[in-house]
Amino acid sequence: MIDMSHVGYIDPNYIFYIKDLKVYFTKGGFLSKPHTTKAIDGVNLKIRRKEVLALVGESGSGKTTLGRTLIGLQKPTSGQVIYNRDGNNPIVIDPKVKQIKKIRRELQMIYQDPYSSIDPYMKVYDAIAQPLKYAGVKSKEEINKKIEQSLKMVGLPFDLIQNYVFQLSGGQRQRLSIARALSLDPKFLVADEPVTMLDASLKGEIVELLSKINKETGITILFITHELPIAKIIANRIAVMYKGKIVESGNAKTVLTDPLHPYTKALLEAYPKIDPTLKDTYKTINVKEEGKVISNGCPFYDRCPFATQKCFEQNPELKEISADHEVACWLY
Amino acid sequence: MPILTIKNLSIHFYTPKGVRKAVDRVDLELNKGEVVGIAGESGSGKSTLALGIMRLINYPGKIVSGEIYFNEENILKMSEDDFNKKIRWKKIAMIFQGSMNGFTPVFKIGDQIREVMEIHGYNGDYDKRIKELLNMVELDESVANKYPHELSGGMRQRAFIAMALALNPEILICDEPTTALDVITQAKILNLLKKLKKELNLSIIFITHDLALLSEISDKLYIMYAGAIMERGDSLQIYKNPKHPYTQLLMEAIADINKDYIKGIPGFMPDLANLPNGCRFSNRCPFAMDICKKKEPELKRLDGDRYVSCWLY
Amino acid sequence: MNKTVSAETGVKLYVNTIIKNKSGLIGVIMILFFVALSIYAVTNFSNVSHQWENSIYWETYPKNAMPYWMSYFNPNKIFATEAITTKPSIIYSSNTYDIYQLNYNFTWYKEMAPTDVVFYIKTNSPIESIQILWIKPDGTNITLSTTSPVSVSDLITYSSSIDSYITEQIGYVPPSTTSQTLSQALFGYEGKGLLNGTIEKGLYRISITIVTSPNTKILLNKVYLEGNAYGLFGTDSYGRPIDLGILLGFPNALEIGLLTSIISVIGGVIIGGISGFLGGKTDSAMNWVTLVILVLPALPFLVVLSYIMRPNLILEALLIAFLSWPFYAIIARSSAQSIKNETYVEADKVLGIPSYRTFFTHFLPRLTPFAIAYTALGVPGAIILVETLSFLGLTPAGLVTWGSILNSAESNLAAVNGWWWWILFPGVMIILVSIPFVMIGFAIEKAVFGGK
Repeated sequence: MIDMSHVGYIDPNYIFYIKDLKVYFTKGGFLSKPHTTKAIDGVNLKIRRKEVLALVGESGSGKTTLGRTLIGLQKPTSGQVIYNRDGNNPIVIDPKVKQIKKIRRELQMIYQDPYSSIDPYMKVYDAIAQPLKYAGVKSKEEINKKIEQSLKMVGLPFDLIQNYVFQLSGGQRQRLSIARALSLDPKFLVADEPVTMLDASLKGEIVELLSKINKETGITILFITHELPIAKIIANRIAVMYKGKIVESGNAKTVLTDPLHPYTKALLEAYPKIDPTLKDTYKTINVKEEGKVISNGCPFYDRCPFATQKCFEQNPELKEISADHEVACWLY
Repeated sequence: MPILTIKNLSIHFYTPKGVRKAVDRVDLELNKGEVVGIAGESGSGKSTLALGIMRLINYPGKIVSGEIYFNEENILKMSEDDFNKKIRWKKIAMIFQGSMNGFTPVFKIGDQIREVMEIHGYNGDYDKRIKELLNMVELDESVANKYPHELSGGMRQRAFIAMALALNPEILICDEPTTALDVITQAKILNLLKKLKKELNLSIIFITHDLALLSEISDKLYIMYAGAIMERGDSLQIYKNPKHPYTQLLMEAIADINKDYIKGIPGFMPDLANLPNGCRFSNRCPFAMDICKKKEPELKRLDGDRYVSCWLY
Repeated sequence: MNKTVSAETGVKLYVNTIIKNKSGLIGVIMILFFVALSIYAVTNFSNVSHQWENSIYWETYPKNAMPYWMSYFNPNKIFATEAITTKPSIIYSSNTYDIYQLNYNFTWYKEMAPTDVVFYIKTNSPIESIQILWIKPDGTNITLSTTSPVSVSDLITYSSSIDSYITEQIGYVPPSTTSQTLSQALFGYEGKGLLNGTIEKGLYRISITIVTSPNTKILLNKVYLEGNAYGLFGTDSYGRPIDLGILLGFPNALEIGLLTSIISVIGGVIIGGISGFLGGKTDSAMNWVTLVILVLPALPFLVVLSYIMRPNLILEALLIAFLSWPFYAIIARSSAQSIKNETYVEADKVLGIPSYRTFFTHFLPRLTPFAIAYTALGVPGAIILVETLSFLGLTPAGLVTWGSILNSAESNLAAVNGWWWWILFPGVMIILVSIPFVMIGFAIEKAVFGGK
């Protein structure tokens, strides 16, 4: 456990407290000039207990890296990820620290691709039973009971346990993925694009399932997606990421009905709406084409129609504009 | 007179597991200057239909029956040579989901467009036309001298559209053209297509699983499921008042920025090699009746240009 | 809703695939046949294999005889061995010695003289002296005697008598005294043309007089007129039938081949698999070791080590395996590395499953099929390597292998002398034994890789 004074006071309402997190990947450096990718470039975020927080962004925004860093799969380059287990025991998450193995059980993840996140050649029974066994569940009866509970929770029939995973459809595998994670009674679940690879008719079921799980068990969910409309359905709060930084965050309804950041506004305008009356009109997207300019300030500088010199030089921090609504932009 | 008429088209795939009826007796009409949207999930047959029109179906697939009339000429009956010379890329062109990766990395964009024009026998000033095309898709002329990796995904997709329009086709088939792009680029490409439709009087077949996206561009809508058309008609009408249970459920399943809630469709699409007797949606339909499981409903005309394939009507 | 299980995983799938595949089926049948031969060889002929290096055991066999079926091509010039026997008669008996006489008659109408004449007299106590009177059809005769009588003797034993006879006849000392030449002398016309190749045809008589200690019994007697054709694959310079040699070589070849292949593949796959799985510094170190051994030139190394250590069969297998495992380790390592990139491996970590368990659940089942395929494919290589070492004389003496047969062929100048059967058949066997393994290996490979 970490010395409390090191970390400072953590409000017990927050399950995760992310401070100045930076995750940089450096490639090469032996015979060529090293190339650094700033996957996460200074993120401050507080995740509330029992909420569903949607992390929204395009590919390359850093959202997947953030999810992985939170559960200890990725080491931060600088900054801290603090996990506030039950309000009294904040721990710094770091994959190198030995403690991580003990709390692994509490931090789980659902992956995007149901076809590769579970070994297709395993038996369904083993897929759930194995993690339970290593989590300390000893007797066979207990294991079976837990399996029955989890499968029931995700809506899969119990007799599926004798099948092999490759016999299951994509939707079923994703449910199995959720069941597997749930059976360990986690406190926090990262769902990394869980419905992106599923058909339209299946998305609803999985989203509904996760929502139900959150309401019934109180598990905090970080729902990572690039589909804003999906986020809107499930999220209590939302955080919009762009190029490794959070540009806007807050209550989901507030952010989506009254977006502040130019990027968020453009996203909301760009997303298709079911409105055939618009078929002959053009959408106004207030975003320039991506340029070659890399600014030291705001990451959105080269695409922002309102960019100023200040935006180029200084990086705006997240500022609270109204109740539970923050934005990182010099316009405010 | 529609510019493209598809009658009773069937495309089957002969696999070791059986004959998969990817496209099963499909009719379709495209009028000049109109956008027909084809909606369906994976496995619905929509992409196969597009490839069928372009006569790009390869073993083990085969166009088993049906006719496709382009301006009153049955293009399925033409020889491959004729089709290639007269129709493919000249009259009917296609862009795909991965089109932005359809460029070879080792040649410049301009050279690749030039090559396509040469192969299909373009007469005229090549350079002028290439400049014209790039302007049309809102790309800077300097793009002609760039290599594919120097452009972003969105820009490459535009360049591919330019290449597709090189010989001034009358019909452009778009198969999931924006699925691999980020949502902002998607909106811009859609703007572009709308502009091209207007300025060039281009007829477009737009295929996607994203019903919300389709609503923003289609004049007419076709809903495909398991290889067959479930419902077709005027786009506005269908969105306002979907008739087929599948269409209704699909509307509720699609996430749209204004929605708070989406519903899934329980059940599974039937195996295309083993279609059930009766309606192919009957195993998932909340309104399924006895007759639905026994006899397959016909695509029946309801009113105006609305057709539905369902025993409820 | 449940899809029918069209693909069963595990052993059944592989066995089925191999058998369904034509080449696999042929391979399996051939191997079963070879295994049967090996078992037959081990159970019935183990005593024979111990006698392989004992030249006395093979005395009565024709030397350098070609395969008997060659006689179909040229019945006059190619013929099998004939053996004649007679009833011994005792002509004198006393307290100090007995004298026996054995009289043989035979007719000879072939175009060539026998390659050798072997006299076999088995008695229950040593023979004190032998004298052989050889009478040709035209009445001319020659007396053969030796200073050291033995119970089995061929013409070389009597070379001094025959040599002087020849010198007398042709006027000069004959350049070489092979059994063939000596035999020629016994069958040719007297005079200058004794050795020119013409044979006297007709009735030959042999009268053997032996002196033994008293009360000796003659248990067996035979005179072998050695042909130049014997057995399925002929004989070597010691009279050892090549077909027997090939039969005896089977179990050795198969044993070493399989043993070596299994050890090197299993060892390589485990080392490579674990190395790829662990990654990091351990992987770099193990990879370095793998590459160093891979680069070592196998044959020279083996030659040197075998010469120094003179290993037995098992040790030989281990040595070869030691030089072969890196090949499989590299493949297993890259396979493991690509498996490591799969999402389910990381998912295991998140779920709290320890690394070793991940290795057993996800990596091993994926490495096993290719391991099996390569075990089959590796056998021929191991066999060829062993036979090569054997050919160079580096396998333990007394071990009958095809390579050792070729070794003695080489030292006895078989090629120069035109004894092609001594070289051809063992050589072909080495290749032939590889074929079914390769066929099975390809069938397995197709099942494992081709299907995907």
